[in-house]
Amino acid sequence: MSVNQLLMDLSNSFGPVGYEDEVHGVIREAIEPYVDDIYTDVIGNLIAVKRGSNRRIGLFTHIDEVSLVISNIDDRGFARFEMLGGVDPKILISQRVKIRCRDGKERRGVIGMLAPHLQKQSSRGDVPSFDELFIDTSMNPDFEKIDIGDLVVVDFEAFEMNGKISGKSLDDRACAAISIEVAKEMAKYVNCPTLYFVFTTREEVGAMGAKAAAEELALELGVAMDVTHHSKEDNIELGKGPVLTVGGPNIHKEYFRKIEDYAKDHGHSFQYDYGPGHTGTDADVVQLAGSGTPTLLLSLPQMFMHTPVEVVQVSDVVNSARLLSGFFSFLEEVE
Amino acid sequence: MKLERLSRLCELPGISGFEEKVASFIESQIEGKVDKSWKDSVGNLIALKKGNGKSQKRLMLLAHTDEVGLMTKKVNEDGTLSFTNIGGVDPRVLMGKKVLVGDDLIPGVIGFEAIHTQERATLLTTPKMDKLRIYLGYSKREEAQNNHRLGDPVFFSTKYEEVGDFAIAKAFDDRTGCEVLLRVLDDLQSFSLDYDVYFAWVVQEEVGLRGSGIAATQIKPDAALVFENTTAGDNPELPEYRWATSLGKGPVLTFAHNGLVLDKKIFETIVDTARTNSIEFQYKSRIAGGTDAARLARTMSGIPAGVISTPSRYIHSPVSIINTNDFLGVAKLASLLVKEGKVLSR
Amino acid sequence: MKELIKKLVEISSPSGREDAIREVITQEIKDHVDEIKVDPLGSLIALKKGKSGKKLLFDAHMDEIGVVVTHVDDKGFLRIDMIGGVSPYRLLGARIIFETGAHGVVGVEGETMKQAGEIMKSLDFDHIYVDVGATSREEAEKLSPVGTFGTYDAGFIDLGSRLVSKAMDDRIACAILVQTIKELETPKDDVYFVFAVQEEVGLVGASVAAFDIMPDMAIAVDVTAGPDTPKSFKRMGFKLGGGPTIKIKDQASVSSSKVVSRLKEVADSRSIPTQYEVLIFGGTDARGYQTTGRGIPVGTVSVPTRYVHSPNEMVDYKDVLDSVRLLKALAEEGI
Repeated sequence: MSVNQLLMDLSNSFGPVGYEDEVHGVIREAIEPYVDDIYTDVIGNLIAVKRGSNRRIGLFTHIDEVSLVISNIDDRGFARFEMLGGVDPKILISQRVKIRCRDGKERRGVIGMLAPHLQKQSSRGDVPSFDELFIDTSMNPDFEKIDIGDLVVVDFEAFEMNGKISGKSLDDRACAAISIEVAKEMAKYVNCPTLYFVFTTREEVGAMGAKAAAEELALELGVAMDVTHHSKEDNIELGKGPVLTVGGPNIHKEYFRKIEDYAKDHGHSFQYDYGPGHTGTDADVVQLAGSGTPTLLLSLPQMFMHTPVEVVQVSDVVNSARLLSGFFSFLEEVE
Repeated sequence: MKLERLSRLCELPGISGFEEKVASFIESQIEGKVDKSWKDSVGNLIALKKGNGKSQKRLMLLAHTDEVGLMTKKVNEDGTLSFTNIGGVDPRVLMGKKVLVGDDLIPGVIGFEAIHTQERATLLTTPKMDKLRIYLGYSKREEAQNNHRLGDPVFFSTKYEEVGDFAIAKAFDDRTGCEVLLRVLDDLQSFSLDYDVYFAWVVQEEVGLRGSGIAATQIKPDAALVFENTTAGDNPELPEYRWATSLGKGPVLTFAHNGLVLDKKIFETIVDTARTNSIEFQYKSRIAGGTDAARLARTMSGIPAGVISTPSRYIHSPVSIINTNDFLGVAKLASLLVKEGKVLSR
Repeated sequence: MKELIKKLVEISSPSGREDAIREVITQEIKDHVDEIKVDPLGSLIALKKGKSGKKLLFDAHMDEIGVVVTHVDDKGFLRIDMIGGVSPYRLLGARIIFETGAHGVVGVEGETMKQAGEIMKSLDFDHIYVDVGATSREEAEKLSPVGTFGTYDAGFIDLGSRLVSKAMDDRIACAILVQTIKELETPKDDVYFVFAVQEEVGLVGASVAAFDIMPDMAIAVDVTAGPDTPKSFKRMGFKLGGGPTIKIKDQASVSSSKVVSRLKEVADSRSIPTQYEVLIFGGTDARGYQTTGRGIPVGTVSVPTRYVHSPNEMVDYKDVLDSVRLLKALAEEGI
């Protein structure tokens, strides 16, 4: 399967925070031929293992997406909701949504807003807050089957444009794709460490998934991968390759120097980001697990984070995978 | 100078994530005085002074080696550096200061636009940190880039000074704690204990209490004493009941802070010991701030801890002040507690 | 069960000072459990053995919110700060009982009408004080010196189908656990009952209580809001008398989907009424267990409660009885 298709399949699959089963299915199918073992742990992370040397390295990418959940519904079918992960109310207005109900059926909804000429004079021009937004589900003939706790995602299908992919949940499934590509690339190398590909749950609400996995796995090195903002001002751009974060408290200095040197010596183009405290990614909790785990953070440049139209460049995904797989094999050769 | 070793500790550069020089100095100071010492993957320095084996219990003494500071985030076109903070640093303390950049400690200044050219209306507006710049004398980016990169640590450049009963320096938070541990260790060279004492100089407290849990997981102590540095608000702008602590009233004993009520028995033991030995002390009278004790309580099965602090004015700025007698009171109380070992019998 | 509830809610035990409530609970349960111990932070842990080899954990927190004396002035007035989330507005007009036995009344500053008005608009602990009836510093220091803890002084009232008291949060859950211990005769799994300390200051006890146990499932029992009063939060949809709630998410954790569905399954099989809950704010001990070690699947069962963190919290008695039925059912049917 091409990387483009993988990215789109991952983007389109349904996986709100804590309910990522469907995404597990897509990942399993893609990664199975390249690993020795796949399982889910008690808290809901999907973990694939490729056995190699005694050196244990973990790759952490989160697959939960920001989404919504029904919190109240009236007898006319107008539902109130809460977010699962951080969502800007501005991007929800006038969106179509899919509601996954307990009876297994998917029902429709539209996020509306009180029409401007009906608003109070004082609040015109304000963006409505979550307390004022609602999902109109009245179009479903059996809307009374919709209940508190039903999950809601924006109805958006991923597509390609000029070497880039736009879709929902590329944060962080685009990095999950990098993980899968690393598994593929490692098949080319003779010297391989033991690699744990950890697809984590609940990163968007505090990285509980990664913490649990890191405690259990006792790794020598934990590499977290997440998306970061494309910003010319900060010298991070789409198309210029993976981003390596200079620590900083959250990044292990020696491993950073090694990967930086490796990348330079082997002609990989890459970019830099800085991390003055914790990084707001799975790296935060991986570092603190157990007796401490050295961590690195590799980021993928992305535009429009946490909207349905996130954009990543395919070549960045491919190059990130090449850099990491080369680096892991290099570690085996020289140490 | 009364507190020579403390002066050297305060002047060392040791921001969260960059504590190596402080840890190395402490390592040189403990050579020959401990039975074992090691550094772990994040940079915590841990040392063990074994007891005579009569008790299997373990006491952990903790102080953090990191101070707050800055980190460069960009080399600008004009050769200046943009930066952000590591740990809590208010932008208001930064303007008109000299700083040292990177492992080579290259000097620079954080300046600000001259008053004549500023808008009157916004004169009192706190500038945002990303509008401030470090100037090192370069005129364009290429020159700066030879010596600097993003992610360089930036340290305050304050020199330590004693004036009467007071001392002025950067990083009393928490080099005073580090020095307390060294003093206790010195005392134990001529005193035998029944139980093992672990000294932990931990990292990254200022960016989220990140080093202490890892250290404790390696040590597995039965109880811990955390030696910190805490804010004294005793200035004319605040009414007395908002001071939290004040200089000259002795070591600060904390019964609760953010995220934790400290173990009652250990707290009472500390208070009793101070009273019995006529050490004047004060309570921390605001539930604010946090210490590594909050991290220890949430580690493994939970580690009960006590917190004893040296009060300090203007912490988290380039220039903070302590009363040296308060500090010596903390050191004295610490030694007594360790020698008597009552905090371990809960 | 009303006698038991009254006994537990009327004890004054704020976070960090749980000795009194722990003693009472110990006496209530010690003859009904197979093992009982106190952990290093002071949490009480009891075990009723089962046969399956699996482990189930129920949690309730023993601490209540309170205050602590931070300063005594020359005239004998006290300054206080909060232990846990105490709103200064709720303290106005409230009575406080201190661990020394002293009683206090809360007052507010205001040297002019204008100042009094401004203070009331943004009331904080710096502008209130406690009057214990002392006329001098010495007298006040005898009654309640710096470092003395205290709680609301507001006893239990039986309104028939509704019950009112301070500290329903979370003594109602403690009562539910105690009653479950007494009624449960044949647990399928090993059932651990944790009466945790210091939930109100940061879920402290629950972060570590399960470290040595590592149960297969952990369920926190706590109070939740009661958004069924006039013009209460329109985004939330559960109510008093609707049965114990099965929580989907709050600000601290997203419940495990498996725990949610198991609770619903067990409740339905025994016709126990339940409601789903999405809480827009707040958190429970569930988060502490979720992030312990390599992770534990968690959920929360809540008792809908009006006026939480006030001296007069109100619950529905049938919801309480149904909560006992639900916990007992899960313990008997097994994870």
